[in-house]
Amino acid sequence: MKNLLTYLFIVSVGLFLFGCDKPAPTELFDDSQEELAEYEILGKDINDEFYSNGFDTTGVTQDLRELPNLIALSGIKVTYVHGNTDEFSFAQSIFFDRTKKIFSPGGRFLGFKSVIPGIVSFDNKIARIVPLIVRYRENNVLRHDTLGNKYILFSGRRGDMDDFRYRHNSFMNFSINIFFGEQVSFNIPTPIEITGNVEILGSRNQDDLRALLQWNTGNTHDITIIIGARLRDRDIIMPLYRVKTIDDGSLLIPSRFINQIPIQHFDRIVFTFIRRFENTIDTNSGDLRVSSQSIHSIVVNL
Amino acid sequence: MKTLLMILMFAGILSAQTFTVEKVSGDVKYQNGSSETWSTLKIGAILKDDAVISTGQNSSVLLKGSKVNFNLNESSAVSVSNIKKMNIDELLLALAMEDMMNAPKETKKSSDNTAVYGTKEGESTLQIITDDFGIKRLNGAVQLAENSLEESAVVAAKETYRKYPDTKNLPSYRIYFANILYDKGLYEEALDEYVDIQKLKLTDEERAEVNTKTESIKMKLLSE
Amino acid sequence: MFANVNILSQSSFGLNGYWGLSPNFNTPLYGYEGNTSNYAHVRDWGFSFIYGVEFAKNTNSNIYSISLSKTLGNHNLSARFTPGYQKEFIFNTGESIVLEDSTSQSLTASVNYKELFGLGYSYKFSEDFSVGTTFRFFTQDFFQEIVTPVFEDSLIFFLRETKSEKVKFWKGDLGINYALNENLNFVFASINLLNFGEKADNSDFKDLELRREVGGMIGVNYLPFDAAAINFIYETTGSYQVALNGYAGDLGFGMTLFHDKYQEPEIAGMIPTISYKGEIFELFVSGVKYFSNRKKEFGVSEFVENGISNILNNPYSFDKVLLTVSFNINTAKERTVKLIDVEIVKDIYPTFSENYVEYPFAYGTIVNLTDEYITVKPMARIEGVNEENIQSPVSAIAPHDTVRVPFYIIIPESYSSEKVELSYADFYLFTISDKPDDQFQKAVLVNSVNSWDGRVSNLRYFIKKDLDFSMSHAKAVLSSNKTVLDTLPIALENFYKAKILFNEYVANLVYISDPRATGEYVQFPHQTFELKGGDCDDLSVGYSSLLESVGIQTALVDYKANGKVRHVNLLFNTKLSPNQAKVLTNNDTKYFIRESVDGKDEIWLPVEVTSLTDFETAWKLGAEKFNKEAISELGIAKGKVNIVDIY
Repeated sequence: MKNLLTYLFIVSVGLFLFGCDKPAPTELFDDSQEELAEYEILGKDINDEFYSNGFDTTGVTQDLRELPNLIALSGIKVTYVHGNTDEFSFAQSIFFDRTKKIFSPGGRFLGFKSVIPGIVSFDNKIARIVPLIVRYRENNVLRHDTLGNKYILFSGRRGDMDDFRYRHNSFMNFSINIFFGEQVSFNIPTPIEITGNVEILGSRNQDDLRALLQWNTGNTHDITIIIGARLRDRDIIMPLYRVKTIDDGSLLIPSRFINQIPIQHFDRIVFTFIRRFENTIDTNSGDLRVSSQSIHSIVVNL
Repeated sequence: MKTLLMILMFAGILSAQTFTVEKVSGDVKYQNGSSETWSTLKIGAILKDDAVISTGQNSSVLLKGSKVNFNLNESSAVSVSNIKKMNIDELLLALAMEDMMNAPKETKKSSDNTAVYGTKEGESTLQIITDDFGIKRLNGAVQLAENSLEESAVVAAKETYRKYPDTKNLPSYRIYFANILYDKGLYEEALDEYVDIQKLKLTDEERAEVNTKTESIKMKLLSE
Repeated sequence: MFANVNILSQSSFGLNGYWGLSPNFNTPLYGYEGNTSNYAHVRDWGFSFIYGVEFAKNTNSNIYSISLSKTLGNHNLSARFTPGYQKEFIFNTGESIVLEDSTSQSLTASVNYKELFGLGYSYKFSEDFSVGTTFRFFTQDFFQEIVTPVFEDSLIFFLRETKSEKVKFWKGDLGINYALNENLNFVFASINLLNFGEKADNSDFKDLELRREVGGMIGVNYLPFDAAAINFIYETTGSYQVALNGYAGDLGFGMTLFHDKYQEPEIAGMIPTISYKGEIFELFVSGVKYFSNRKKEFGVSEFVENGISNILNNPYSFDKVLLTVSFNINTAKERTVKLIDVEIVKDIYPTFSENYVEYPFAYGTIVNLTDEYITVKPMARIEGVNEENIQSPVSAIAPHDTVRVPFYIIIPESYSSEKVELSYADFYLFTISDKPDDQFQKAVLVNSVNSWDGRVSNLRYFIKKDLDFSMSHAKAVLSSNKTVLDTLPIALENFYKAKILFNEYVANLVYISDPRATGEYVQFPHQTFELKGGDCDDLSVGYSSLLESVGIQTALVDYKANGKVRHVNLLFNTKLSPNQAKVLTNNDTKYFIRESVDGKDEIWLPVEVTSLTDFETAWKLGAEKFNKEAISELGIAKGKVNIVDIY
């Protein structure tokens, strides 16, 4: 009897050791459309204003070095901490000469030279030509350099007032009269105006500070939300993350994203809702990105 | 009294008999039960079952009982209890009883008793007084037979052989009683006797008689 | 003949199908899901394991369960370890991140449900009714990949982390089994009655916890005849099972169909089984086949919404093939022989110790339960009499045979109780081991040392027992008469010793008839001496003992006297030859001739011991009685008078 028991025990241990595969896990596919959110780090170094170059209320956030030729139309709203909302319309166009690289004195590649190939008009209004400035920090010194020029039209409370108005959910016209060349003109569709709402939930003390973002749904598949923060001692907004999410009207930003933002460096968070139509046209001078967006930035105290 | 007698008569086959002394002639004595003394027997005396009577030379006594009468001649002795008619079955029982009386032949195994039975060393120097009472008893037995009480006669004789071993060596008596057995048809019992008798010192006549009887029995037994 | 309670249903799915009433198969009972009340057929120890193959996208194998069960009287305890009871789900959390190289990567979450082990206890009130409980221990491992932005000095980067939580809980349930009759029994059990343990802290995980809906189940098991069973179970949560089982010799066949609330179609699947029962093990081969496509893609939303209630049987389970092996191990020896009855054939008279050596005092009826010859050692013991078991001769019993076997007993010399005791005798049957295979107890009347069964032949035991006393007493008497004895011829020694001893004996005694109303009572010589009296048995025993102790051979004479009060007196051996009779007496009716063992005729004298006068008188009376009843009336031949030699 005892022998039998011993034998059994060994057999079962053996089986157990050699016969056990872990049952295959069941992989469930994503059939839920909710909560799809893609996060991306934008500003990698808060001390380097370089990273904020691409970000301003125009909502253009790409690294200038990587920008293709660009035509951008933006209808912008900014809601400030005290609740006031300003509206802006902004149009810009930048053309790069990819043969010419611009470097900093320290040898840092800042971007390509931006050129003026002709006369640009948006909705029959001729765009102004202004320098394209890049800010960066080198050897702990804040520097401004120019890459060249760009075309802009701007209307809004601050800055110059052009007679230019962004129209949502419609078409706007772009035309360029190339010097010694032809005229190119086309219509750019604009998305439905986006209006966002930010509700801060929880508290920093309880480590559950999070943001419930809501907006009106529109005619794009997804929207982009940029979360940035304003540097405490400077009036520069640093973009932190970009979140791409389904245009379903709401997104909860988990506390780990909000709580971490150090209040010693930043005093305001800015949530920028962007609904964008974007198209890249292949031209003989390289890619031409045409984008039109409705932007709503909401500034919140940290 | 009458009822008592009736009961006594019908109680058991071998009912106790009492005898009255009818006639007495000469020297006749009796001994009652376990008395050590012999008393003179007189006419008219009532003898009970436990009595023994004995006649001297030239003496006789006539007893009268309810069932049988009995005459005892000279030089004989008989127990009153033997004066009765027995049937063959009773005779056989009595013969069987002889053996049953004896100590059991097999020795028992476990014996706690450390006592040892047996004669002590140094044989007895006891004087043995012999008398002829044994022969008297045999005579009495013969007369039982002559009074048609053959069965009782054999029983009485057998008893006598035991109590008076010397009487076993008297061929005439032995043959006489063996013949009774023979005549009664008790061949095996008779044969035992004849075989035993042949060990005695016999006259030629006696031997011849014994042999004849022996052969005859053997034939009879073989043919069965 | 009771049912295992293997209730199968959505929350009580058993990997072996439902094997209702067969008392032969204990295997299905190891499944707590089905056997909530932990009913067991295991007589001593049981051990079982289930090994199976699951047909997922890849085939994988597992030990599903290892169980151990122990029965102690009406209790049963069991434990099982279930490494194979686990189910893991992996899905995207819905979040993704953009990596350094601008590619996007989804973050995943997983939840792994495991049932680790279980414990069971049950109590059998009767063959028809038992109650039990099972407790099972579960863990749920939740994992979720998240990115956390880290602000370190002036740098920001994403840190990929895993949020995890392990939630453990216990599930306890009660079950009741009830058999209405041989063909029908019922089962009632709870589902998720007791749930205690942790709950997920993390809100994300809360929704994914194992569903534990509270409910109950009722099962009906019907055996129309021995070879088949139909079983049905219903759960209040909406699931049920129907099973049909058949038996043919050592084999069994089963088919179970189950309906599960959460699975499609109506009959979600079937469990066919084949089983075999060997001498100490059982083998089950079963399959679980689902009637819907188990290999299709499943969506997260349904999983999150409905969850699962059962780790082994849920909408995501795969087809399986299983092998179950169970062992019934009896460390207790199987009973090979049974002592059905014992008949005590002799009363216990402690003084007749020798009687019990030769003849058995009881007979036992023994049956051999096995297929082989069994040698059985009978042993017996009487409480209060024997310290140890007394062994009787061994007997060999043919297979399946019933025999009558004698039991002997020994009455120890030291037993001395003068009271009649009602005790009991234990009868044991030993075969191989040193523990008895069976035993029987019977009340037995142990008579006192003075008890006598009325048979004169048994008086010898009273005589023999007290010989020491008699010897010392007799020797004392004789030595005080030494001078007389020394002058005597040796041949007359016995006679005179008997005479002296008798006169001394009766000098102080009184004749008393038996004071006891019931039964017979005989005093030992020393008691007669102390009490200064006794009846004819006591006095004869006393006197005989005296004579025997100094070497004089005696015999008791039993006068049975036709139903009247029986009488006993004595004969003793003078050792004189018939020729020497004249030395003793003039009356040849006063003595009797008996042939000794070695063929010598010797003179024996009868003594009526109750005549407490003197030797001569006693001799006279004894002789008269003997003459008349033993000789003249042919008492010895007719059996009315019996001579019982002491040795």
